[in-house]
Amino acid sequence: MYPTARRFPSRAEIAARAPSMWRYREWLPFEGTPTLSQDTGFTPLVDAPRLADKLGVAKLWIKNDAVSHPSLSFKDRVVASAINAAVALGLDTVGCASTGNLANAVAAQAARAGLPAWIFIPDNLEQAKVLGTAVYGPNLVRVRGHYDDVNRLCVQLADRFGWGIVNVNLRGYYGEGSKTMGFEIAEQLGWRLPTAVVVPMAGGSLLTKLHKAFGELRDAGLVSDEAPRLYGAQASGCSPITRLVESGGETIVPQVPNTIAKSIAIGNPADGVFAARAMRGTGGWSAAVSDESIIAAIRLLAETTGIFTETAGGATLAGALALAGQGRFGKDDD
Amino acid sequence: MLCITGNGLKTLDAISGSIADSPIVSPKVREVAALVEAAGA
Repeated sequence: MYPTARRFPSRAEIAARAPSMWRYREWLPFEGTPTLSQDTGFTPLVDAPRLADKLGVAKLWIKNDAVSHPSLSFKDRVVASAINAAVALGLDTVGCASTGNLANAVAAQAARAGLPAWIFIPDNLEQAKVLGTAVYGPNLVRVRGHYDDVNRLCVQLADRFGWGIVNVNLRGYYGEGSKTMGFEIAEQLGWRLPTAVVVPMAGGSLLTKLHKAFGELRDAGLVSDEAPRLYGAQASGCSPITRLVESGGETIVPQVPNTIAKSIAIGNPADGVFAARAMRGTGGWSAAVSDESIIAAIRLLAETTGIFTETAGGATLAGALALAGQGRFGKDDD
Repeated sequence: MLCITGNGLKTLDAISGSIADSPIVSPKVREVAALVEAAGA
């Protein structure tokens, strides 16, 4: 997908570019300048000293995609990548299978681009996510069943109608957008890598793409640190990747999701095996946390950092607390 | 590093049952003073 003779920019060249995910465009599957969603990305990196004390680490940073533009989740990144690919490939309709955040992002960016969108969600999603999709005027369809049923349906629809379904037939372009979170983390830390990163896991793609991003920065000579230890967080009511990490196996055992954390309720995660390998390979681990601890963590994050996150973010902090309790972090962690 | 991937306004139902209703008062200083005293107790 990428030309072999790419020239990568220097730190100074990157710093001179607009504050968006496209400042790292040489690492994204796009040639030239994107025409759509040019202002997505470059979200705040927030210092969290009170939480650092609770976790027993030297420094704790929050990469805050809760304020991502335009639709308040990191899915804006992957959609920005996919929607530019869709237009470049001549596709005139986009779509997705979603647990909510992706639906919001596709609806918002398609509306801005003037593209029709068909969006498919499980019929039990939070009202805010349903309204937060419908307001943009897409064709929104609720499907009886879990996300895995919706995803299977969308694979068939992509073949039937030739739509650019961002997480199905545009998945290669879509997934690469997640790397920009990793690039931003490194640049915002002054071109260094953290020692450990905790990531919520639904399909497992974000964690694998962060791992890829950190490796690409090392390959380009922009950072020289060791790869961070990667830790995943899931809800105990849907934790197939955590179970795989704990078992040391190579095959995901699908689960029927049962958790309030619907955005990470994917019972058969497409990138689960790769995420497990990345965690084990970097010396990380995974934690599965209860719905009660997710709620408590949402409140703790808000009360200590002023950041109000959704249930997936609550799982991230609850997972970090659980991992800290297992002795996975130390005073040198930053 | 914690990766926070989405905004809490999207999942209000998850936490609405865990946060107590805030008190309602008349526009009287003494009613607020009672709340302040209770908060400091």
